Amino acid sequence: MRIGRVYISPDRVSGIVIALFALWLLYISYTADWAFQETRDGLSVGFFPRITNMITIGLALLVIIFPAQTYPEKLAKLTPKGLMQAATGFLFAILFFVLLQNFGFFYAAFPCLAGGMYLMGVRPWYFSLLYGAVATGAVFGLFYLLGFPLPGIN
Amino acid sequence: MLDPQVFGEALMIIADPSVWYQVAIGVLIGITVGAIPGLSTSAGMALALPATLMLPTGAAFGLIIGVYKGSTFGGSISAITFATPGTAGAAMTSLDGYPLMRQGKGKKALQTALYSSVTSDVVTDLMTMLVAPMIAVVALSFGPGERTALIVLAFMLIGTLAHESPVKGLLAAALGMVLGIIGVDPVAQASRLTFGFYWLREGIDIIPLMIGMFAVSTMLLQLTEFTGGGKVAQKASEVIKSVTEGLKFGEFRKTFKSIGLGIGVGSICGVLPGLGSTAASMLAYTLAKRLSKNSAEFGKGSLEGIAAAEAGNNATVGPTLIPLLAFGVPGSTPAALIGGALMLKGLTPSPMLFETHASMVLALLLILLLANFVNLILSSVVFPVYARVGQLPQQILVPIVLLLAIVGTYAYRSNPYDVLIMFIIGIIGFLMKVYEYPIPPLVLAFILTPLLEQSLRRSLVITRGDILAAFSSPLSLTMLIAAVIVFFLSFKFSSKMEAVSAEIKQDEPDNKEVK
Repeated sequence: MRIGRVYISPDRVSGIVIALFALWLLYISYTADWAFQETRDGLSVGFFPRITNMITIGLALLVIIFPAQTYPEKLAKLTPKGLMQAATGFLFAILFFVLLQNFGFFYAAFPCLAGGMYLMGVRPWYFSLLYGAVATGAVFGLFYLLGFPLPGIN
Repeated sequence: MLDPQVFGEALMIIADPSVWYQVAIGVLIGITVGAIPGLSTSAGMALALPATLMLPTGAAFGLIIGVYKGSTFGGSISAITFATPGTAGAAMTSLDGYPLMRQGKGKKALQTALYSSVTSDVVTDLMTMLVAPMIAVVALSFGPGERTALIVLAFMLIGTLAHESPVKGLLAAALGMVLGIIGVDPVAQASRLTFGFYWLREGIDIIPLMIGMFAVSTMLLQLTEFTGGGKVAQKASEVIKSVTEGLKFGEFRKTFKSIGLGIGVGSICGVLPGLGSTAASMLAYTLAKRLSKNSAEFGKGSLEGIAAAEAGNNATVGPTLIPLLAFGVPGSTPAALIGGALMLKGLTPSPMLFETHASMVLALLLILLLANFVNLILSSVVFPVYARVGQLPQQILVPIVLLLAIVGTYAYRSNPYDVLIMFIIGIIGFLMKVYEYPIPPLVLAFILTPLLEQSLRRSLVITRGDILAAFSSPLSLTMLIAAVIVFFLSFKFSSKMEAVSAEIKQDEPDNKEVK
């Protein structure tokens, strides 16, 4: 990442983000109403969260001070198109969950699987429908064999 | 001394046909997961974890262990047929398996992998059955101070050995600790770090964490790398062609030395927290190559090479449960997942388990042994079919795995917040993978944190808050000193590890030109 003329390596970026997050949690574990509440063993409720976050900050600082010399391979391969694909997949997963909660397994699984496969490039369209139906049946069969109750199915 | 009554009860548990049935289903799921590149053993086990809650205890053990055994072997199927290891532990198998495949000896290679895996599994499982109860007796004498020191040492080993950069491994473990302390304080019952969300009061459940970290994050990463189209379609004919020439006993006998080496190296790697199957197969392969009379054959299609890698890989399966059962400290992700299954059944892993639920522990160990024979039979029958399962294109695989992740997380207790947590954890896991932070230390630390907190607080209560007195016993001191030594040594060796991993990447079949 580049801010003005200053280049910050990916390790340093991740270290800074983690350190800030842990710092925020440390602040909470000093200021929250439960932070100094005494427990039966004489320690306060915030004792362990404080230690944990201090360790996290310390280690994050080490990552910032001694970052790896190599650039993460997967980060280098990350493209805006790839991120869009992941975001679409993620939204599709959320859509599936909403349908699952409201309409049950079959009404959610088949359209989402077939639609997801079509979006990912399964062609012609009736192959997406076919694979979606087979996959829905296979997942149902698997959960049935495991004796696992599925939403919307009695 | 084994109590006949306990043995009888354990036999009653495994005599239930549902146990065998679940082992068989588990092995089939495991081989499928293992054979598909991109789905790891941990992802398969995490996806199976919610189902264990619905099953009787014995059947639940059968399912999760079946998945573990099946996927550990299954990884070698795609490693041999397409030079694409289905699991990280099978990476070394592809070095010799794929050249054999190209020579039309795919069946020979697959059978060598299967027989050496099962041989190694049986021997090390028997060893686990003998050793774990003995160590548990020693572990019973551990006080809270010793247990705290042991967990600190385990954290240090897991964090520093999981990644080329020990600091990043330790930082991942620290993040696991942060996630582990969210929820109710174990003593005061007051909520902490819940950010005002009532649904975080009970803390983060193990199932959304495991599925988010292993399945969702992997699928998100695959989506970012997806370019469309399957790249291995033309190789199906080769697979079918190559399943003609089988392994002869004389050939298998020549691999015994390599299998023995694999068993030795793998069982040590299995017992030590943080090393795991990838390191085991790598070390076993390297050692077998050094000690073999036919070392020149290694990398060109050596059966000894396949046997060493697979025996080393599978030899970790049983021994990795020793720290879990004897000390309550999981040393690897699969052990943590088995620990999770135990906890879902109300059996908190600890040395006390051998006294309070001896028959259950023995049944678990017997299922571990039993699963090998189921694996042997099923794998022999199905591997020609599964060689093609590895070709399942991402367009079909990714939607199915995401669907399984959501259904599995939601259906086991119908809590929508579990799915929300799984999504958040999935994104964290994705970012960790992109920025090259190892995930196993986070998961193991998440599981160990409540135990660490409990032990530390108990030891401080006993010593009235004197932290020095809490760790004054020679055993605690030794373990803490060992933890400090591990920390400093890891920095010294981290550069060497980077060099070794670069060398291995160069040796991988993907980077070699295949004639």
